[in-house]
Amino acid sequence: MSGQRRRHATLIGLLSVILFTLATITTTVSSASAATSYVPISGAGSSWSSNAIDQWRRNVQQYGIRVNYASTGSSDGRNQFKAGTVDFGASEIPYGTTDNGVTEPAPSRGYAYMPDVAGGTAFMYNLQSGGKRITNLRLSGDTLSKLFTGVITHWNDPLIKADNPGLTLPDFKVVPVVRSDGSGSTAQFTLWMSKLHSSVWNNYCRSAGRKVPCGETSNFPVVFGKGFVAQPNSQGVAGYVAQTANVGTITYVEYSYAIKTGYPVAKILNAAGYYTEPTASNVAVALLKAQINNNPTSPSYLTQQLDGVYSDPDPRAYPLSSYSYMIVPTQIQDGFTSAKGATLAAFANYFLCEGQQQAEVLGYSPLPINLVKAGLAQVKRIPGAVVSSINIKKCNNPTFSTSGVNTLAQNAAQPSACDKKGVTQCTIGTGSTKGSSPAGTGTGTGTAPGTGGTGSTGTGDPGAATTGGGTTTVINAHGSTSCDADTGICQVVNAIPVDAPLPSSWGISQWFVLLLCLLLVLAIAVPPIVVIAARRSHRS
Amino acid sequence: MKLRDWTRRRSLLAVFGILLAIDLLAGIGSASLAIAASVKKDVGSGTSSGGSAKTVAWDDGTRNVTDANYGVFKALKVTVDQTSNLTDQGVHVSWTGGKVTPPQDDKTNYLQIMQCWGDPSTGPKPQQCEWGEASTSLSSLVGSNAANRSLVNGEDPLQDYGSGYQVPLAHNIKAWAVPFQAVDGTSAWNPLTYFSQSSSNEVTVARTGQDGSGSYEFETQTSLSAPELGCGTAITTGGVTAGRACWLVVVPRGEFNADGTPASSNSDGRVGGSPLSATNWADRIQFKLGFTAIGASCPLGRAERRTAGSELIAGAFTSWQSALCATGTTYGYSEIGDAEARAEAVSGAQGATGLGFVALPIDATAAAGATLEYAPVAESAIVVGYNIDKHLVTSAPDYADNGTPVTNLVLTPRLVAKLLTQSYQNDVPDGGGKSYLAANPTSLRTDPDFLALNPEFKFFPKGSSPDGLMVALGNTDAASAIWAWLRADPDASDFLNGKADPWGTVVNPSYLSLKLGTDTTVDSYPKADLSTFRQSTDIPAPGYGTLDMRPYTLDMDEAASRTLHADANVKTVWDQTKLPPAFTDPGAQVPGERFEISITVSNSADLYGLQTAKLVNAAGKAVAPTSASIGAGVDAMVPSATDGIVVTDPNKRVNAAYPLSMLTYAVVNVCNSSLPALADYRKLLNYIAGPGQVSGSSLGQLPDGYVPLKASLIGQVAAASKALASEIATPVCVSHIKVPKSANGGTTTTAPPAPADAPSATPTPTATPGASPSARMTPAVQTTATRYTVLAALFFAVPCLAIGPILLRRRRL
Repeated sequence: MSGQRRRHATLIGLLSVILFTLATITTTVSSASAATSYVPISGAGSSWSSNAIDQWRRNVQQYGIRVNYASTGSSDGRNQFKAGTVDFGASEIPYGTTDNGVTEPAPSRGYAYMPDVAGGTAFMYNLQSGGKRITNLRLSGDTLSKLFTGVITHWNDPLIKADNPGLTLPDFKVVPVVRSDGSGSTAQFTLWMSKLHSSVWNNYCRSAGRKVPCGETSNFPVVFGKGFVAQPNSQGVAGYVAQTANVGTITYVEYSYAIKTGYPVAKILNAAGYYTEPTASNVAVALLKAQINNNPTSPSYLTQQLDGVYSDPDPRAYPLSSYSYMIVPTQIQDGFTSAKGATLAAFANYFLCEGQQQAEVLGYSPLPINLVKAGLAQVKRIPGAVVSSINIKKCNNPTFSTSGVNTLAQNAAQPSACDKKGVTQCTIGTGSTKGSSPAGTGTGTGTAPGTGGTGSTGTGDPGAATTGGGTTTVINAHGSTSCDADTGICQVVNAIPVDAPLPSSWGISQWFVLLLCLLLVLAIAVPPIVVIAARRSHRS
Repeated sequence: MKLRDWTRRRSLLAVFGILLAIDLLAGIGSASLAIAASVKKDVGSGTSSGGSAKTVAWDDGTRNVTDANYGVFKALKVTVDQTSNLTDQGVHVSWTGGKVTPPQDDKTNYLQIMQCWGDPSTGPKPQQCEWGEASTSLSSLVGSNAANRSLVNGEDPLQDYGSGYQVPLAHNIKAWAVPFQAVDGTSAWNPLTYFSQSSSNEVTVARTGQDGSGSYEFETQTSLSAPELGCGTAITTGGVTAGRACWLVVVPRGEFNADGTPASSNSDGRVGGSPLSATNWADRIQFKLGFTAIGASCPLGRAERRTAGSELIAGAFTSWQSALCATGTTYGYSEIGDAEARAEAVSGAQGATGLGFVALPIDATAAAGATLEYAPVAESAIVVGYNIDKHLVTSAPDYADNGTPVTNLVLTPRLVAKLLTQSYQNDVPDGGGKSYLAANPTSLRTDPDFLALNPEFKFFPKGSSPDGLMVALGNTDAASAIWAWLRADPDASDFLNGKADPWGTVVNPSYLSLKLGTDTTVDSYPKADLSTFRQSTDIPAPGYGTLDMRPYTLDMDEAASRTLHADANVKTVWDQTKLPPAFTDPGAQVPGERFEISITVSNSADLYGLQTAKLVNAAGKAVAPTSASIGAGVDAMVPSATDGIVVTDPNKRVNAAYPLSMLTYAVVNVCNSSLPALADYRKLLNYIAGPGQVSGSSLGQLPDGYVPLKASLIGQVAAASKALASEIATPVCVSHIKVPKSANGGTTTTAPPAPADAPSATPTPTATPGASPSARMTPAVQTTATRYTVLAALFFAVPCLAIGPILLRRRRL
């Protein structure tokens, strides 16, 4: 019937109109939506944390954020922030510390501390024995302090020998390499010495003409004639030790610099009697014991108290673990505007969460949830911060888990038995020298059977295997953790975002899919309709 | 009946006709969009400036002939090589017909260049220009107020000195200036509120050579770098979105002050007054600058898919990231050493970065047991970037060009070997006093080996010398490539092995034991001379050392930036006032005497507008790093021990090849990566093979300094992408077949549907809103071109389906 046919035609016509309209929409809808606009911000300070900050500012460019950062050392960062020449500072130590009898005044502008990244102050060294590089040196706290205070002058000192039963130590002079500029790394290390090895440290300070008791200092005192070398900045000390010819040198620097230059770091004896390396997991374990100033009214709110870290009884803990701060303004002044505040807050929100995913590959340790929470609270104090965008539930930090435990610390491997203080010594290198065969194996070298640790993820050490052996995958309640059979290190974390944000907007690609689906429906529906219509018309 | 039938058929035909027309139109539209999208990929290398260069003659017929400077500017013509589709980049400003700038001083006859916002048709007002934050060392080189915004009442007969120009000061002190007005309508007397010495792109002095020509690499700024100007901010008018246009203003400075008095009548003999003062401003030449709209940036807060590796890819990746997030995945990148990236790739640790960027493949022992996919990602080069001003003695034949940039520098492997081994006296603390360097030149300037190739340096003062060759800290494949190039050159390897050059120069003995001439494992830049020096006994021992004097930079990009700013961070000046007293950096070299060289990457050299040295290749030819020579270098690469991976053979003699051409690979550890990760890597590779190879300065494109991959390499990327697709569709890796326990104890399925590859593939509903996170395993249709092709195909198919049966029916009739 003609009416039916007309209906068919109308139907097809209608579909075509819809189809055409959709096609038009598809091609005209602009994908450019209003972008959040940010303004450039600048900061200066810590070279300890600069390897991380530099990567963050590179990655936030895709979000339209421009951040300038000058790695000039913590002391300079604090001074510049105080002088108002930068929008934020980065430092390992807060204002107000007393250094050589002088107390550093706090800035007059409003400010707050915000943790940015954790890590281990590593002891990178350059040592050879019999023409081969030593990569598995271990040191107790006592030995370490004596190395950096001129008490131990030669590498074959009995104290070093006691820490390293498996090594034939050379008769080289010890050359401690320290920072020549005001440095947070120096402050961290000297604070540790002043707390745990105060008599050695005070004796040294006295000989350098410093006030005693010495306490922490940003400027390492150097006594001429003791064979110390002072170099500027982290790349200066790391670069100095990393000269092939500079055998006998040892320095304190953030772990990432040792990885970057391919030099080993000393394993440091912890309170449990194990020598540990400053890996991301070992730092995370130790920082569980960090006391944080949780008094928001205190000017030192969120600054760290590390006594518990130094003496952490966990066999995995790295004793010289700490974290670095960003110093952010809480007032609009010194050229700091609310537009800059919005940018700084967005940047901070990024690095406290997503940015922490990078920490481990760079040689740092991601901040744990308590510090991120506190940090995000500080972000909200920055004038101009878009508070609604700051949400811990959307924070993709690798240490977070649904149960609230620190995933990284939870999954950290127990140390190998050969890392226990005693007559054995692991032969596997540290830092990025893991693959290389360590030198100077003497008597009693690393033959300990791997008994693993007590933790759920511990794996055994196969003994003196030096050819780098495979991996072991252990399934536990917290997921699959892969551990290196050589080192017993299960470095990597199962990242569990608390709440994965979903891309939810109805955009151009959604229209496309809808259109394609419609066209497909048409492709299927049109031929039968046409055939039926044709048949009908033929019949009539 | 017949008539009715006919009418019915006619109306039916009409309906079908209309439908067909609409459908075909839509089909043609989609097809042309598909072609347009794919054609974009074919736009070859080179800058995207084509066609938008503009030349403006100063004398356009409207100039005031009674202007005292009329005769000086009359013949001036200024060219800007790109005036549209701009972003944060460098544009080349060149000119002819100017009068020569006096060689000894920036007294008269130079150009001042600045960026302004303003009315899109008439141009900017002086208030709207980024000007007045030059460094003190720069502003001291020019006449009074010539570098700033200050005015002196009465100096300019055309200038208004009313309330709009009177600085509000206390105590009845009177001062005049041109305030700065930002694009948001706010304004300030102190421009520091908006921009500073470090952020402003103003050019205080651009000098003219004796032939009346000159040039300057001007940095254009978008609102991302200079929000106060707002250039490139997306503005939608009548449904069309475009970037806000801005202006480039060139103010020529002649020989007369604004009031017509000659510059020689000023106490300093220099032409005075701000370029923003009315008379000087009237002499300006202005260019309208079209900016690419700054698109929506990636939304902050999504999880990033991590990648890590070589700095060689950093510039390109940073650009790609902004476009990549539109694929539904946001990517992160960490710059780490190539060796570290290789170790990560085979570490076997779960969660290790599964995609690394490296220049050299993973050796067979380390790679044993791992399923690795390599895909080339970018061609670029290691370059020696420089920023050298012609600092000439008065007897130089081209003395009139004094202070203009050096644009030709040739380095042989042996010269680079000398620079990298502290073999010049100036690169060692108290080098002049060292007996082992007594026979060596003080610096490049006095090395006959260097002067033979670069004769213009003979007319530099003897003391003129670079602050060493800046290099980055750490182990990189870039450093290996340089050492391989040096070892392959007989002269350089002889020198490194201890043999003196024909002029008696010997390698610094501290470097002899490092066996740099033979050791093939060196992948960093040693700084081995441990000498220290103190200028006086007031300075505590031991004084400064090599790393104070020639410090490492953090990476090659920093080296390029320091070269541009002519500040090598040389800490040799003892500052007693610091707490504690310390060696400090005396600051940047002054313009006119800059001499900095660095090892950097081609894209950073481009970004910072550095000149790049010609390097002598194995065939003995001095070759500059250009798209063609880098391409030739990549063409000349030879197969490595790893299947499908090519590497440079430093001994291969190819005339046209740039010796330090680099090809960067992405390496994916297939079995160690989760299936969603593989799907993301695949999207990344598809982007790299397509839009990621389109050269240009817009976000998402391949930045200048990189060379687009040649077709055969693109094929290799596609093959790698296909391999990943196959693993996603039909997993072979044990890790992908067995069902791993997810963190919360649940299980996840591991066999997602095959990814859509061919246009015929049916669209999957994965892109519908509210898709579950696991939907990321199935990549949707990949590129814009493919999308439009599918659309066009369907549009064309629908009428065929309808017409087919009709034709059949007619035949039956």
